[in-house]
Amino acid sequence: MRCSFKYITQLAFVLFLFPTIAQAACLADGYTVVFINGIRNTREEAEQNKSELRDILGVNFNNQTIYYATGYNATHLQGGGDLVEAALPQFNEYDLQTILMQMHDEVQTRKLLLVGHSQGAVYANRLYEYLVAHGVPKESVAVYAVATPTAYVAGGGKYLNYQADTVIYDPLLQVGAVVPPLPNVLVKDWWDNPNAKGDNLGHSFIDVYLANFADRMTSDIKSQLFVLRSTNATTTGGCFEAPAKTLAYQAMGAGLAVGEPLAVGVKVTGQVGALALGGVIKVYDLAYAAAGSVFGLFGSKEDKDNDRAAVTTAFAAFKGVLGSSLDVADVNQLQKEYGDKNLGSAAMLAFLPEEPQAVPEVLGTSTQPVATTTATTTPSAQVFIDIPEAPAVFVPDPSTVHLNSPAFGGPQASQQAPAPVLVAPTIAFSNWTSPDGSQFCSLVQRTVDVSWNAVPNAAYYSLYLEHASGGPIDFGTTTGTAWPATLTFFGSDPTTVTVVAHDTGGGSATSTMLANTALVDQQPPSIISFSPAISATGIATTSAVALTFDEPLKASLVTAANFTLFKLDSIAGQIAVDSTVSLSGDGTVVTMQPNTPLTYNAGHRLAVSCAITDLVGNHPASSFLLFADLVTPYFTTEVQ
Amino acid sequence: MNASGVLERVWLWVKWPVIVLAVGFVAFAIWGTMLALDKDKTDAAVAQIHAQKLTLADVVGANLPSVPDQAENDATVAGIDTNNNGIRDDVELAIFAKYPTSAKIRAAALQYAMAEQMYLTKVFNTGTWKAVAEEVGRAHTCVINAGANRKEVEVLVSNTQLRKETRTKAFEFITSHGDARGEPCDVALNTLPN
Repeated sequence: MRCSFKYITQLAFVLFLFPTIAQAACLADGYTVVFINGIRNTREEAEQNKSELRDILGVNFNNQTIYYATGYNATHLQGGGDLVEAALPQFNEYDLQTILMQMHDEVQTRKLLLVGHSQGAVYANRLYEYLVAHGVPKESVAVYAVATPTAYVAGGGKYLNYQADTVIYDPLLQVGAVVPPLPNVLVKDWWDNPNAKGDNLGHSFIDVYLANFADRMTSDIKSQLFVLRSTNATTTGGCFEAPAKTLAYQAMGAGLAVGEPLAVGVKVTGQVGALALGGVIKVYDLAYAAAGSVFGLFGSKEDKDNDRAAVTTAFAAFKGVLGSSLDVADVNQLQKEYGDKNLGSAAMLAFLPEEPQAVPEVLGTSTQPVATTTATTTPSAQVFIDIPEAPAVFVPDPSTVHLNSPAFGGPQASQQAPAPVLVAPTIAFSNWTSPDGSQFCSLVQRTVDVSWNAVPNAAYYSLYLEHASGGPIDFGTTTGTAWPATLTFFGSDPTTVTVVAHDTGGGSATSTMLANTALVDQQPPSIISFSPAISATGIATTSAVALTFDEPLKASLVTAANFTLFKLDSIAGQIAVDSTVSLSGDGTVVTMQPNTPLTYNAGHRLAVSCAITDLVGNHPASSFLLFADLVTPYFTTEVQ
Repeated sequence: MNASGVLERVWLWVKWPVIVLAVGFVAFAIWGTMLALDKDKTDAAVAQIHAQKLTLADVVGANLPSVPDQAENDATVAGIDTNNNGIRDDVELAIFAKYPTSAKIRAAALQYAMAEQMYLTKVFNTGTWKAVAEEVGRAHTCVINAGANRKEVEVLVSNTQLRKETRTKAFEFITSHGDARGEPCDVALNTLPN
């Protein structure tokens, strides 16, 4: 009964007294970056976005710690609710209040930066407005918007919008009164950025914005962090006043809780429109990607450098056959300026006559046709080069004939210059060693150097190590023919080493080799005879102890520290006996000669450290100590 | 009408409201008790999540496990953890194999592996997910301080389809959160020699 009363009391507390305002600090030192995710993310992606942001920004700035928090923007009604919210952000009060309540205890620094992606950027604006109205000084909070659908960034914050963002600049999504800002990173920037390694088309925070524009994002964010001030910091109380959990809020939460299961069925009429909109978006994405493939303007997930290399290689091949006064530098420049990467461009450029027209000066202010002269082997027609420029919405025009279109004479896959075929490298192991110093019996540690032969046409090599019990570990790449660091193996776990040779065109050849087992002795050393014998009595006080091993030991490890004789003592437990330790010529017998006579009628024990090894580094198999029992002696000396 | 008759008439009017209120109160009390019991269970699990720490012995390999049987290890989500330090044996050995000469990187990677493993084994509601996410966030800061590789550890921990799916399922409980407070590394990096 008393227990029930306790629970009922707790319940009453939970129901009637929340929100409980935690007495958290609002410290002057440090920064808090709150990431607010957008729509069309899985839940894992929402969290992964923040992790990636932390990876690039780091955890220290201006000699202060950067703390991170996720302001989770929940997906409702199987995504249908998000689409409605994205189009009509005025209906997102429930999520905003939830984020604010949940953020309240997480934000413990006065300086606060809200980073919002996509719809999360809209929320970041609203959060900013709430915070400023509820206790946060304007100079202490800022917003940074990534892929924002709205031109307004609260507090004059910065934004990062990519010209080829397929959601923000998708005309089908421009519904309602929300107008996106002009893109401030262009496709040309993607080409010009040597560190770009992500997709050249899309909306993803990680694959598009972080992968391609991490430097820009880092610079923007740090510049905003730098100007934040710790006005009115306090060591007690929160950083802002959290909203109350009103009845209306709870009713909305209950409504969503009921709506979620219904949405799974996809048959609820109220959501059909939103889901249909989602379907349209998906279809549009697919069509867009298909158009990109046909016209060669966009690829899928291809590495930009590989694209450039492929075009360069193809250009060289075509030039060899057809002749052209242009060189590779011209091709690369054109590629940069046109945002183009298709092999067709290489073919067309190679088709240009010996005295070509001036290379078109691109960089106009709008999409416009550029006339070029074509070779006689191609249809006599004008060729239009698509020049995406801000602020135009970046959608390929199907009526435009692109230079790289296979339909216009660009190469088919079979026409591409064949890449040299790589042969698999031959792996070799050398210098197997077992480092001294381990104190652990269970730890068998060996090191080895790995090398391989130079593979013709290989630009670099990557190395993987895989234990039988786990997935492969990527050790990285090298341009040399030996791994620059010694590899270490633990235990007798069968381990394979894989070396992959790569060429510059994306070709590779792989070789795998079992690394450790069967190559070296795996047997631990063990003691095969004791002198005195175990449990012997009446041993002379001048006797030495001799231990015979089944295989030679590493001499450098046969030391007094690793072989110790103890006298059992009723008070101290055990007292070390000062001894001289030596190893026989064949390395199998260890002798411990006490430097002074042993005590009469006393029990003795022996400790052998697991630090000893055989000649190839195997430690003893089982324990740190032999005869660890302090009661039962190894032997007992004679009575005086 | 005498007093008894009046009372009888009043009772006739208030009987059903009183009964409804009484039944409602009992239901409310039962529901509240269940809620409180659930909260106790969550609180205990959250405390356990935050109490799990890496030790120096883990970092130096004093408790290094033997190589597990792969099939047995991958047959379950939790896998094999013979030394009960919260890090799966295969993951622990892989980290030692890759970083034998840097105790600092091992310390960070092992702590991150321990936290990531809890996504697979400790999450059953929003409260427990949040606790794990807070520990993962703290470990992530440690990873950055040590110069270790977060993604490498994530691949090691979620190395089977079953584990990947379990991790994804755990994220159904995602909510807003920060990092667990306190020092980012369980074993202070400046106490390690290399």
